[in-house]
Amino acid sequence: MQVFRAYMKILKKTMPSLSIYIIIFLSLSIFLSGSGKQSKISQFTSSKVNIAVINEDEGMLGGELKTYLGTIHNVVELKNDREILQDELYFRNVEYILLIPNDFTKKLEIGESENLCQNVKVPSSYTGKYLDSQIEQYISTLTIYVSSNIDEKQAVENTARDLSQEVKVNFLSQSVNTSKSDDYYYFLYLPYVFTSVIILSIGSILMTFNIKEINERNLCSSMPIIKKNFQLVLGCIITVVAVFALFMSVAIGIYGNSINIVKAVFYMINAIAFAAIVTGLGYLISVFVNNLNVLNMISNVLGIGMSFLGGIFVPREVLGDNVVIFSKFIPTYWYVNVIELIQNVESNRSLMNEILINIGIEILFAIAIFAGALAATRIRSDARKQIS
Amino acid sequence: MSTPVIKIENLVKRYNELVALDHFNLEIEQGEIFGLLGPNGSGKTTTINCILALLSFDKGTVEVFGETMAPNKYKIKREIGIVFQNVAVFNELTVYENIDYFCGLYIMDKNTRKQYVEEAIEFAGLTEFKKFYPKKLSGGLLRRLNIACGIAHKPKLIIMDEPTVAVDPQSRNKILEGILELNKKGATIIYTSHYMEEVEQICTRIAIMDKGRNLAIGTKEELKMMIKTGETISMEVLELENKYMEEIRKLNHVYQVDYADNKLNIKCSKGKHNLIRILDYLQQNQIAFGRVYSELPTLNDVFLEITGKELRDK
Repeated sequence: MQVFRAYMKILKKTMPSLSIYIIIFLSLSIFLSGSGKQSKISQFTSSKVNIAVINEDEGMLGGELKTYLGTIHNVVELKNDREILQDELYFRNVEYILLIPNDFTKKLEIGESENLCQNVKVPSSYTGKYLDSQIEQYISTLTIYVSSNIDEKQAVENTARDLSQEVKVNFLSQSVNTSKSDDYYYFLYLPYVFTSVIILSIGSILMTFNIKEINERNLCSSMPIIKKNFQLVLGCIITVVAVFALFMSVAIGIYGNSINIVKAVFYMINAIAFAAIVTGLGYLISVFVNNLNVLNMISNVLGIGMSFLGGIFVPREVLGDNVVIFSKFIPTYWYVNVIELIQNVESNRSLMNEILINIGIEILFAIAIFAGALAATRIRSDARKQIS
Repeated sequence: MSTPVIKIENLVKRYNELVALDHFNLEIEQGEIFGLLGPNGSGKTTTINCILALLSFDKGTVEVFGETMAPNKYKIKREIGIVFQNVAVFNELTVYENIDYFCGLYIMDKNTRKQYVEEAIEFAGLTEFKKFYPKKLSGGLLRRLNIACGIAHKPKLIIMDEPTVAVDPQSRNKILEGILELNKKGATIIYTSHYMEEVEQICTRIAIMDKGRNLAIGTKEELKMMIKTGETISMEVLELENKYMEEIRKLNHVYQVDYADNKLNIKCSKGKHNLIRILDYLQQNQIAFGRVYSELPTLNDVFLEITGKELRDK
């Protein structure tokens, strides 16, 4: 196992630089998976704001407005003292102060609905606009009922009922599913990490063995070429398995408790298929490249390029139609497809077939790349014979 | 008669239109240090690559140890050591690890290999540098490492393709001494070079190659006997009229006279008293002369006369 041992020794020498990549990528993946989730919230949940209501109304409707506001916000009781109110607003103990004047009910009864109340709020704050909108909505709705000559109590009830209605929104095209968990983002970013780490590790070692002098020196030896290649392949497999195991261990460590077994299995199969693709790429690149800096550059360009075009760093909805058509020729497109399908596989088992088809396409990519690499090796070998 | 270590018959190798080897023939006997001498592009490396089955060829046969050579003749390959012109080592492995790797391609037994590696390290004078990485070695040490990697498995046939290119004189001497030592231990050596002094110093037989052909073969004495030049006489002459040059040219055994930069060069064919005859003539004609040298023919003279060109690129 002389070749295998040399492979491992060279791998050991390249470990420090690879470790830096792995640590950076792991940190970034975990960070991005967290931030990715936060930045893509699409559900609305109303929030309560601390407000103060100074009710000087002599009628009942001012009190009803205060009661209504109390149901949707936190009403803080404050003394009607200018200095106290200013202090409370300054220290953000309250964010909005509503002053209901003594003629509030009277004006409503005669049909006035504009500028009935005064307010003090944090300038240019969204909470201020939010409350303005809610109060205006309440008053305009109440005005309609009051002006229709129904009982004031009934008008208040009707207004409260109307405003409690919620609108259900259905997205025709939804790029973000809030049910996507952190593991989604972890596995989504995995191709970038795999591309860089696997191409760099196996590429740099195979590149060394492909150096003309070393290759010829090996060919002259009494070790059969098939045995030498077997040992190299074994080294590559162990490298890829080690990288795969490392990232899967991290995933299990972080998401192991929350992840569903079906999802986990598909995530892993998908990752294996993609690892096979980048292994082929690493092999192919090592045939042509004989400089570590160039290899570094290629792995970065491939990693970033495939991630952008395949829809990893940028959602596909943002990409142009032509770009999406082009991206179908890039393996990350199919990888991302699988990741998206996996999100719903628990609720819709019929997606399994589709997932397997997409993984099959990834495997075809891997086979094509390996075939290309073997052909390239042959061509390169013949070319070397010509120039010897 | 013993089987030749190498027997090449009518070998033809073409690279498209270029004929790299043109019906090349060669036989090398066991125990020889055989020199392949030729300028760059003469076909030396192509010959070696054909012997090693690294290259396919168009016509002819190559036999090594009496068997036709082929890429899958691993038993034959076991007995061959190769030292390429360009250093072939792993920069990521130490001196010891490199020798161990290349030795391990032939020797499977761990203990035997360990012993062989230690011997190769000692042979190449690399004991102090065992744990060094190749990038930390000087050019000469790197060449010695290259040789150690090629011979560690104790092959019966060692092929060295210009192993002393760009090496300092100290390392060169060490390498040449090493080759003689390996030969003493029983190895047959094929040595290619365009440094004629080296070939002349160590080789027992020499083949002169050019344009893929074997122009002459023999011991250095035999080769020198093949050419017309027996002696080259050089001297400093301040002034020399053309008529004297013509008369010198007519002297017995003189066949070429050149005069440039106050230096007179006279080439004589094999014969006795050439120097005395020329000096007598100069004295009789009162031609003043300074330092006089008389040189026997070198391999460069042999090469020059056979091929019509200098051995080394100028």
